[in-house]
Amino acid sequence: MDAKSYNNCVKDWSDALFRFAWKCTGNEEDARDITQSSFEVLWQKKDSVLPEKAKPFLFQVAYNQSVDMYRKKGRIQYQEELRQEDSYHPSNPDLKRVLDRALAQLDEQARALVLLKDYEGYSYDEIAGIMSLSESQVKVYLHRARKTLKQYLVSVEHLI
Amino acid sequence: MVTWENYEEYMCLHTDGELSETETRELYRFVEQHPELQDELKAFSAARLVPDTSIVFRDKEMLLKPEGRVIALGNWKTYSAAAGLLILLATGLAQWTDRGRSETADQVAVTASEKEPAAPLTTPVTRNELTEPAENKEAAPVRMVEAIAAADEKKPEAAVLELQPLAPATPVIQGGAITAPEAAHLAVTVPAIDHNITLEAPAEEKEFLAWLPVEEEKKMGLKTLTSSVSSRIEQAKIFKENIKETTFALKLGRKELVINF
Repeated sequence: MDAKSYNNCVKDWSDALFRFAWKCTGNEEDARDITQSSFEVLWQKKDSVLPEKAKPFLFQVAYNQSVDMYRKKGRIQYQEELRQEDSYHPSNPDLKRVLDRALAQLDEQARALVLLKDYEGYSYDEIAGIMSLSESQVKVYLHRARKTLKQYLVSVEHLI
Repeated sequence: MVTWENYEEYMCLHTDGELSETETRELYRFVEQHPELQDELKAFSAARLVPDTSIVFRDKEMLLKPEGRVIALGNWKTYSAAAGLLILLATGLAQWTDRGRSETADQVAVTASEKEPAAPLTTPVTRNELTEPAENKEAAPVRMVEAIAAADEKKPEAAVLELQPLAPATPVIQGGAITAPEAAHLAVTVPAIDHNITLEAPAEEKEFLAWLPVEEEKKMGLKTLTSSVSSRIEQAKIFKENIKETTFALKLGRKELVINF
């Protein structure tokens, strides 16, 4: 991969990577750091990473770093959001915000699974490669996460 | 086939977009047959996240890298040695070429200096014999103006200039203040070496040296000089041709530098 391909990756994937990191960590500054360091790793490994593999490589690095950060800091950010849930006004439901809160209910692995599937449209096989899981594991964990999200939405609807 | 045991899995797969058209139709048919599952299918479908495109990374410029060609200087010693060798080669080549040229010039100078310097070519022809005026009977003076005029008149026919004898004391300016004897001294005269001399222009096929009015010994010297110059010019031409067709190849590790002249 040359500098031009790398720069194309920055232009094409930095927003998605930042979004993914933000949703994984729940913190904008952490997501910014993860995005920068992920691209730094890509630049360092540019000779061994093919341009078509650059995107999954970036998400793999970002996922690993977000897991490390998550374990280091814990659920601080998402706990804050959970407290916001208490002030959630059900008479004005916003599905997007409800889904964000539902996402906060998931562990970091399930959150990354859902994000990679819904945000980036990766297949089970591709997600398995990024997260170092088997395809069947991805399928099982993702379905478990879906049921959790669905349960959360149904419970909110009940509140409504 | 969709059953009560696997309908949730089908709904999850449907949310993930992993069902085929046939499987999707089977799921819809099953839900139609069991309307109590419609809300559950809607809930699964709603549990699909939509990317928040308002979130953008604003520091892209900070991540971009210059796209110009970067030459790695990891093994700078090799590159330095190669550059030095190239400079040495180029300088040597230039000096060698200059030396070839200067040697040719030197030989010309040496050949010219070794021989007795030739007398001025104009001496026997244009020498003004003011000290030997018209008394010399054999060298009958002629007026240059008239001689040239006469030559011009005759040139078209035979291209031969014949020197006409002139009276010894013919005044140049008639009726002027100059007396006849003074005029004889002032007139530009040439010694008439041979009254029948013909100054034919040298034919192309004749050698230039044969035409020159110099001594035979000096002619030999000039001949040697001209042949030496000619041979040097030929050598320089051959060298130039060889240089044009020369290719230098310099291999440094896995890199190969080819220079074509």
